[in-house]
Amino acid sequence: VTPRPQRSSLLRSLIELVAATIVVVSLIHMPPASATPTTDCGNNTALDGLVGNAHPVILIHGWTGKPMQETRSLLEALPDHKGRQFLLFDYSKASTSWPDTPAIARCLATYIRDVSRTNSTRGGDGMVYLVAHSMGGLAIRFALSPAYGDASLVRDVGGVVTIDTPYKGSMWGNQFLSWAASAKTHPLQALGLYGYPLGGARAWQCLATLGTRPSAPDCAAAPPLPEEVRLTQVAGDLSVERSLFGLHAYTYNIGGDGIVSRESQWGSLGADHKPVATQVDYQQVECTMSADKLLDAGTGIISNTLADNFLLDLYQDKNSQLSSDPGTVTAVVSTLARITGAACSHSGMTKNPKAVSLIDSSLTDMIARQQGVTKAADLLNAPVPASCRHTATRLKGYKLDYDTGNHGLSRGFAELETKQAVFGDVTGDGRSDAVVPFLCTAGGVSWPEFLLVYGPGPRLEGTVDLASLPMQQEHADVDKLTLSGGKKPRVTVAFRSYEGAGFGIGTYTGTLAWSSGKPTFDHSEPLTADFTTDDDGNSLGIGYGTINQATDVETWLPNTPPDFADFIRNEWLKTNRELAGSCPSGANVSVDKYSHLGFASGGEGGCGGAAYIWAKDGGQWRTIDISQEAPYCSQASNQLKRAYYVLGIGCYASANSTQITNRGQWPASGQ
Amino acid sequence: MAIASAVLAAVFIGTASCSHHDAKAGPSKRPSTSPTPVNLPAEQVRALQTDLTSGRPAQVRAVMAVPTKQALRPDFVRQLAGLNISLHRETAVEAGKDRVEVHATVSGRDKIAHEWIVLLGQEGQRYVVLSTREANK
Repeated sequence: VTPRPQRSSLLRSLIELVAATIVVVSLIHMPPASATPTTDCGNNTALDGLVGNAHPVILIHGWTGKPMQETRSLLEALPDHKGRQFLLFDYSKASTSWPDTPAIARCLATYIRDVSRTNSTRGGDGMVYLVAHSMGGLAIRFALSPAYGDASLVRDVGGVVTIDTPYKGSMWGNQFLSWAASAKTHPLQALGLYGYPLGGARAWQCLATLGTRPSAPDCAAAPPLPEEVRLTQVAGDLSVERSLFGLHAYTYNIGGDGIVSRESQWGSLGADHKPVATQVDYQQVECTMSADKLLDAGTGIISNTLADNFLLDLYQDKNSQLSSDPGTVTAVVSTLARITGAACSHSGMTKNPKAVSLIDSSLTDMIARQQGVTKAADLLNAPVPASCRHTATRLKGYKLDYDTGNHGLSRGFAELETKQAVFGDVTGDGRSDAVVPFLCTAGGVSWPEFLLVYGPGPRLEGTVDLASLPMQQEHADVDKLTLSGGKKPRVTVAFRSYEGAGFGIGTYTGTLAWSSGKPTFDHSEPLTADFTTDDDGNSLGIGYGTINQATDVETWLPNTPPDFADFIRNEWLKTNRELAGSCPSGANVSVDKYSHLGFASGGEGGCGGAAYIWAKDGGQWRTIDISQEAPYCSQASNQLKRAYYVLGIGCYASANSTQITNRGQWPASGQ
Repeated sequence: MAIASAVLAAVFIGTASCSHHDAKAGPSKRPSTSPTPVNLPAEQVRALQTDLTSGRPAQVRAVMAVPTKQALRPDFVRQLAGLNISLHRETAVEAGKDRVEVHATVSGRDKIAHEWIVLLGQEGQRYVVLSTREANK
């Protein structure tokens, strides 16, 4: 094909002359432009009729658009609509402005907050859901940013659905065609006459595809959507089916809706400029248009030759002069597709049944999540705090596999222990939360676990780091979580704290509760330190807990208080003196279990010996029982019963009984 | 293309927006002036007919405007090969710069003849098929 002439500069000059004339005429008939943009917030749906027993959903239109009434009608026709109220946000007066303008961002933030508060005061949960078409999705990002609204506003947003939003710009932004469409809506704004109608940067320029086409210097970058907000990105994906003599030659995929590429429609990025994959649900609506139908439409509007020329540009993507200007070609196709009613063209998507169905199903999912965290599956991609040399991030399939930064020598692993998770309204906000242990390793042994509290979303509401507790040892493993009843249940936590491969094991119970917006953790009931078995109950063998000389105490009785260590050392010295000359192997003292409550059990001897129970009595450690067989319960003093309970020692119910009493039957008080 | 962009811009100004502007296609406006006849070389017409029905994708591509990386459906090439295409060079008329429209009679296995209008584009010294539409529509 012979080269095409460049676009006529004469034509552009003519159009600019016409536009300038419009400006002059407009200025004659209108008050001077205000230096301070107004913040008239448009004709949004009034909140008088907002109820508490339906979830509010705000529909936000796009560039040069008007309130999404048609989309609302389609959503209201769906079976699920009764649980939802669809509200229209209207920024049509400012719809050619870049959405950082107060008339868009601040108005939207205010509207979201007002809707949330009204819903809340009328008995609802105050959660607001946002559905946006095209640039409306960028308006949401500005509105939810602390720079434009309220930092806490994001907590009122249950989820966002965007349709055809140009996250990475549009290929026909900052082009003649977008200028023309903008000029049709607000001619003065399109020419950059700030102050009319509502000021701000010109969106037709700012919508330019990022990195490939220059935009205006006053185009603020849309802030990233806060990661706790769930997002569904629905992309229109148009294909053209070409035929010759009625035979299907091939299907040409436009790679988007004609106005916004699929990559841009799916292009939400996090604060680190990387895709927030776990936050986002990518959806696509495909449709196919016949090239002949497009040709007919083009012929109906312009001429068959011109329509053919546009399609030829599409056919000859590598040969055409316009291949370097794909925005024009795709915009032409999009326009023709729109005229012929292509279901997934940029404007067609607002009334596309499949797109509407995807909005509906996304809302259903988001609303369900906001009802609370009720099952492990809700935590699949839950956020987690920084630990074990990984940053705060989101899980993938309950897990993390990451580089620890150790020169590639070790990989970290972290996982939610969902089998131990408990679900209930721990925070007292009326919705179910989850409390779940979180383990991690930076390539070696596991670190002390966390207890994570998740609210609806799931949102990480609070963290208890078991490494921060006073009994701090190398490891802390959660054994069991138990949820107590009541309106604001507490979580009983059974956990073990130990050193190395499993010695000096302390078994504890703690209570996790919620107070002043954060978790509290009371661990006042430590039970025992078991010096003889590992965390699986296996014997650690001779040595652990046993001392054969005075200096063994530090080695084999780690993490015991100095007064107990001194007491045991003195017991060994005393026994060794008593056995002097009668027992060649010398004395030994073994400690099986130690409790922070002031009890310990073990044995003393050498060439024979007996079981001992020691107690801290009046601030001093002393021996309270010596026996060579299991004791009779009835003969035990209250202090000894308490020791049996704390240390987990069984006893015979009576002299005639052969059954050892379960230690759980002993009262904690020793009574 | 510049004129085409401008005309389409007018279409945009009349119809385009991002949300909820209803568009209505206008009535068909076919050119009403007398078309200028074009002398299509007979050998080029024969080559077009031969290549289109060759059954070989490379030859079909050679006489058809196709995006560089776009594959043709194998069925399409095979089905084209089953057609009998006759381009009537005496009907060729100018249809814009480097464009020629020519009538064609096309029949398949059923031997029933259908009339088509074929739009050709000039590429250097030869023509390629841009589009086809039924003559009676």
